[in-house]
Amino acid sequence: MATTISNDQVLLTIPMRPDMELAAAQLASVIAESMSFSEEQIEEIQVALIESCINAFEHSQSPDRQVIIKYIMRTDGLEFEISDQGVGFSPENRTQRRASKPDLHPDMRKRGWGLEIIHALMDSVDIMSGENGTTISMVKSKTV
Amino acid sequence: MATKNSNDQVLLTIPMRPDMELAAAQLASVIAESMHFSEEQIEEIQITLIESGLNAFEHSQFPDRQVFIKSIIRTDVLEKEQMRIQTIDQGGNLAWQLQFPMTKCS
Repeated sequence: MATTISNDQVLLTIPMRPDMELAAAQLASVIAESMSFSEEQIEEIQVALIESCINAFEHSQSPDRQVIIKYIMRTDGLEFEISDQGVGFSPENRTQRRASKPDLHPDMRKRGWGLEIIHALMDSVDIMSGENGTTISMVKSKTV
Repeated sequence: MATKNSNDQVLLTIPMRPDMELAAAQLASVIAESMHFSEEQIEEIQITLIESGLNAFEHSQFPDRQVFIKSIIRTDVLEKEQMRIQTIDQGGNLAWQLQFPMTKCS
């Protein structure tokens, strides 16, 4: 049965299978539209959410193969919490690894920019990761 | 944390507030599209979901003001894919649910 949420939240659980990240992004789009975000902001939200989900799909190694997304409708913006129960990672180590491999193959250099994209598109991003999984919290603020 | 479920289920909990039924319908639309349902079927799924969501919003009178929607992507014994949608609201010891199995066109 469903987990209890408050009246300003939407809770979505998706399986890690093709197109489910698009479903999560589409849901975000409708919620953001109802909150009067601009078209450009909605596109940015969608891209950030897709990147977050694909990161979890590809790297979490979560045994339950699920991603849980909480959409929180705040008066000043829209907040997302994207969680998996995978193996976790260290964002700092990841940055150092990239810096230590300047001679990566061009095809490889095109991959792995998800977190940078998310940081660029959202107003705040917080990553909590450990051996019990990862949660990315990100906020898109309303601009007047 | 979410309810434990299998890898063919999408679980959505929405509050009873304006436009949330549209959000649920749009989500179902993307899932149905990924399963190659026809445009007509997708519209039918959307309308059904909006109506069932609004029914819950308007008539449930349950204190938690939430609707729980389970969309199951499944393959039946004839290898035809189905999308089963359950819309559930609950309060106290009561719950009701509607089920809308849809068989994909060949």
